[in-house]
Amino acid sequence: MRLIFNWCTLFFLVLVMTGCSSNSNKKAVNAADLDSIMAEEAKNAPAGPVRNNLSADELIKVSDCNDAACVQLFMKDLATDFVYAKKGEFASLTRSAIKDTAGQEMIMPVSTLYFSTDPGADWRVAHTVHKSEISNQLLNEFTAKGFSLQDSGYYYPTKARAYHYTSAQYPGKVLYFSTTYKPWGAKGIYLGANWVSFVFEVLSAQ
Amino acid sequence: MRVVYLFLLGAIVAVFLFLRTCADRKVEKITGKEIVREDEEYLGSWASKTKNSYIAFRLRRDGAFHYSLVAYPVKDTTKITGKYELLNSPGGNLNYFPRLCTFNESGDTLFNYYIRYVTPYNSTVDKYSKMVLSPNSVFDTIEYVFYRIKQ
Repeated sequence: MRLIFNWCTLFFLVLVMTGCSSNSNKKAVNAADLDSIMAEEAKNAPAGPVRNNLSADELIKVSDCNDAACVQLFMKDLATDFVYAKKGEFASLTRSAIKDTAGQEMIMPVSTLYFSTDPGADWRVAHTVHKSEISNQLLNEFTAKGFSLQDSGYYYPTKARAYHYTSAQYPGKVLYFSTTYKPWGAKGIYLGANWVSFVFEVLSAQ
Repeated sequence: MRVVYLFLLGAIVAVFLFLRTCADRKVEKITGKEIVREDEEYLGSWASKTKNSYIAFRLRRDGAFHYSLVAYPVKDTTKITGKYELLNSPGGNLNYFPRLCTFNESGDTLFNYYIRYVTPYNSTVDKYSKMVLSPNSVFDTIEYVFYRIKQ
């Protein structure tokens, strides 16, 4: 009888001890401390991407590359902003809603950097931007570096008209800019792409 | 005989959980605060601050919803009461997060967000209990982080 009484006492003791205690409520914070707590959490959070696309300077630099290893080495320093998705495909870590031709919104990287990996394919490095605002901004960067429109014509790799820009400050460099639905034929996210892309390619005369 | 002990243990656990639930409800009634248990981590008071505002809302067990917004620098406070609903993804599809919908007294929608994350009851990872709401179900896009505040 005494044993049962002891067990019952223990049972109710545990019940009382756990009755008002909630792990979730224990982790509640004071509203007055919210500022410092949010600042602390933000400080401990992993660093996110800080930009959407490559700059004009970086595109000019990467145009000196003639093979995949060179591009990969160049992009290594930009690992906080770009992820190496697949062979020959870098994608911006910033994502945004892009509208396709039917008006449907899709979430995708704001920009990509693709380079040739197929055996026998012509060497090509292209920076593709999916938002017109960013495209205009990048084009303005090139204009600020003295790039001016020289010519235009059908550009086979993008299946569209490309505009050629050159600058006296960067002899031997030609910017090919095209607006297209086929920035890279059938590669990566552009397999069956139905949204407009803005393709930047800086070609070296060498 | 061992089956009897097993049955007895099950009965004790069931009685314990039942009594704990009764005690929780009683404490909630007296103190006016939610006693949050497993699978109901979304309950309680949540708040977040930005440079321009302080937002706080409370999800009560009875489905009532309280919302207050303090807009800086004049500290104008807007208070709204209404109700909320927690909608699970259709067909229990795990590809989508549950959705939190809140309505004011006239039935207008105030929140319609996915609950992307709530600190689990026994989490040893999070120092503070938080809830992440998002207007879409796509990972790594816009999100609003709210912290559980003491009531």
